[in-house]
Amino acid sequence: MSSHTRPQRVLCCWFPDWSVQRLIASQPELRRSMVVLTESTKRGDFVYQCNDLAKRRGVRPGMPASEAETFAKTHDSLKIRQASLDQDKTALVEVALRCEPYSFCIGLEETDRPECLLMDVTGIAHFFSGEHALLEQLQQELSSQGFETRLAIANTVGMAWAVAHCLETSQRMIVPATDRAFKDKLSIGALRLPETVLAKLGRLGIYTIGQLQKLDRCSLWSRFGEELLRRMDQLAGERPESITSCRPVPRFIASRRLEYGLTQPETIEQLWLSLLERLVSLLSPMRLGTRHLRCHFVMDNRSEHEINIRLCGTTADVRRLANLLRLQLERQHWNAPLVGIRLEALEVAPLDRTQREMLEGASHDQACRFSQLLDRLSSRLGNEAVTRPAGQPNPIPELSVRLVPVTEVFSAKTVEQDALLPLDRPTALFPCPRPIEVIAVIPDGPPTALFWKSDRLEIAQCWGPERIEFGWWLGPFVRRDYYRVETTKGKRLWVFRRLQDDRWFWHGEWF
Amino acid sequence: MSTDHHFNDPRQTIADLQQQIRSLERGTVSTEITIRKTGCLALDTMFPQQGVRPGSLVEWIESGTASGAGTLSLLIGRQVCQPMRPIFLIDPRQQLYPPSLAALGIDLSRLVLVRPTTKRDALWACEEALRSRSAGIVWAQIDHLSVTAARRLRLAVEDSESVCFLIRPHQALQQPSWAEVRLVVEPQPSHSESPRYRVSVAYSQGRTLRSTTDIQIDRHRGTIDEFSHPATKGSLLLVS
Repeated sequence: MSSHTRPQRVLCCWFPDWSVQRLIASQPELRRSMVVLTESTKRGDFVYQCNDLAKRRGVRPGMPASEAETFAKTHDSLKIRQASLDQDKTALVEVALRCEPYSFCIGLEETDRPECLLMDVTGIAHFFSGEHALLEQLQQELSSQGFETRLAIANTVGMAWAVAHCLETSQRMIVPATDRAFKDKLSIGALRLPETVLAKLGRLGIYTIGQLQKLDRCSLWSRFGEELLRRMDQLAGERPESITSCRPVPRFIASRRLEYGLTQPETIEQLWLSLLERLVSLLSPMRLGTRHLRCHFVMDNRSEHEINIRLCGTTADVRRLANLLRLQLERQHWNAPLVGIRLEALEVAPLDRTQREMLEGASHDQACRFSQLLDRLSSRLGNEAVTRPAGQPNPIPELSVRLVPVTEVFSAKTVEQDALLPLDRPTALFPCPRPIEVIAVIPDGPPTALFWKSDRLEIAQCWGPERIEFGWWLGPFVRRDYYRVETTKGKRLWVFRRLQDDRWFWHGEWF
Repeated sequence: MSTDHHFNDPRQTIADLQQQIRSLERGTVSTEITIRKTGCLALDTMFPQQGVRPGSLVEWIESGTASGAGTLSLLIGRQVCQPMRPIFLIDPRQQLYPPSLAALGIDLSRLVLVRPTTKRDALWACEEALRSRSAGIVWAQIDHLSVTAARRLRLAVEDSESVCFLIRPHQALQQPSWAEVRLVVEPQPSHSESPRYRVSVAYSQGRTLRSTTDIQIDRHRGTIDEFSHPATKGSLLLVS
């Protein structure tokens, strides 16, 4: 199987009550004590986490520390400590680095208080004669260090995290790569959502992800925001979620400081070209490429210029990078001699990691040409000028589409728009609706003539209204009645009446 | 060692060059090129080859605001674009509305929307897209086009396998052009939800079977059909 078709496998290793576990592992004498960790707030000290003995005595996270003390029996050795989130995080990173024999890429979950390690174990299981053996070995090793863990392997970070948090003490679970329906049975608590969202869903009687998936994405977005959809897509693998490695990434930099400034363009080009070659020579032996080249130019008068070159795919081709840099430098006008250059390769990744969704069915040669074209266009026109449209679940016409720069990783999953007929929407939508004057025979009725600047347009036919509204509690308050109108000369326009103040606007046309 | 006659026979070289010159001067094409149909027979007949030739430059001339030239060219562009190839839309006016393009049947996953801020950049982007030979179609709104720039575009599109559609304002009719066909689109009053347009040939490099046609875009299917005027009834005879 090629690397492109092999599904990713992610291992989630959860350390429940990590702060307590870390403290007891570093001070084994606390094992028999009643350990309570507190955190200070404006209202006083409250229990953050506690060990099993404290839980058995009735201590619960969130209760005041003074109340927790009353649960201790006379023979209990009560140890109350202040939680230290920074130390917890540092210790978890150390554990992650000790787990490196099990994965090439290990990171922490991205929260303020991480308790999970995330490992990319794609193509690694066979070194341990299977995923079950890998989990068993890892759990045994962590157990010997005094840690209690719950482990899960699945196709996505979201799924592995969700499954690990559904397990009982010291359990392990593997979700087969082909099991697509497994997520439907999971509770919504496994979606890594804020408590407020979970409570709201609970009030609506939604308890499983299966129930959630049956609902319309557009209404979910309008009620719960982007976060819920993002988590659902990440769980299903429809939106990429990367693991940020704990191991500090090596930096690839080539720089040069000069004693005397350079002014001749040819000399300056020779200098940055030699630096670029040196930078690429750092990447090439490891078969790495860059998707983002940052160029820093220092001038004699202490002014600095930065140029960023973003690419659609990783490359280590000096000629290609030089051409893109040249395109940007053409527009630079420096008013002082150049005394320093620093080139840094960012977003370094193995070569051949390109965005392939637009290139399906194309030959390799075509795909390369296309990718180079996008790079050239983005370099000269700017990233924001070369985009791909993605639908957004927003009924407001001007907000119903998002333009994603082609140099960004694109999530193919877009929101299903309501089914539109071919000419339901104008082909040209004005960035700002144009205020117009309208004559209507019936009050609040369709227009019969409209005035734009000095033009009078007689309306021959009219279709509508189509009511588009958006609640004030969700953002901009919009209530509009849209009409498709045809003038006596056959021109088709899209106009609307703003219901708050009955003003008319011309918003688009079939140009 | 055998020698390659193509490189060594000067007569063959001269013949090839003459063929290229003829093709550039008169827009003649070799017969093996597949002509792409617009989806409307009446519109096909307004092109010299009864359809859109790959490697051709077509200008759609607007007759003012909301003329329909853009909408019609996008619909035909979707039809003539090579399958599985990206669609480049160069939109310096920054008004193209992607949801309407999706409704017209354009695959947004293959769409690249370029929004340059200057006319010069728009022209540069158009030429780059053509020269890369990776686009299925390059569609651009170009208001002003010098003779040199037009010639460069023509050469770029001839070199590529794609099609280039330019949307031009009505004033462009007074300017010389290197387009193979220039079509003027005028809106016509319709008596239904499906809009009607009159398309006429302002210039063509070669004979066309028709110079004017009335077409209608079906609102429900998004197809383009020829609009035939209902026959006028003969005047009633006076009954004595």
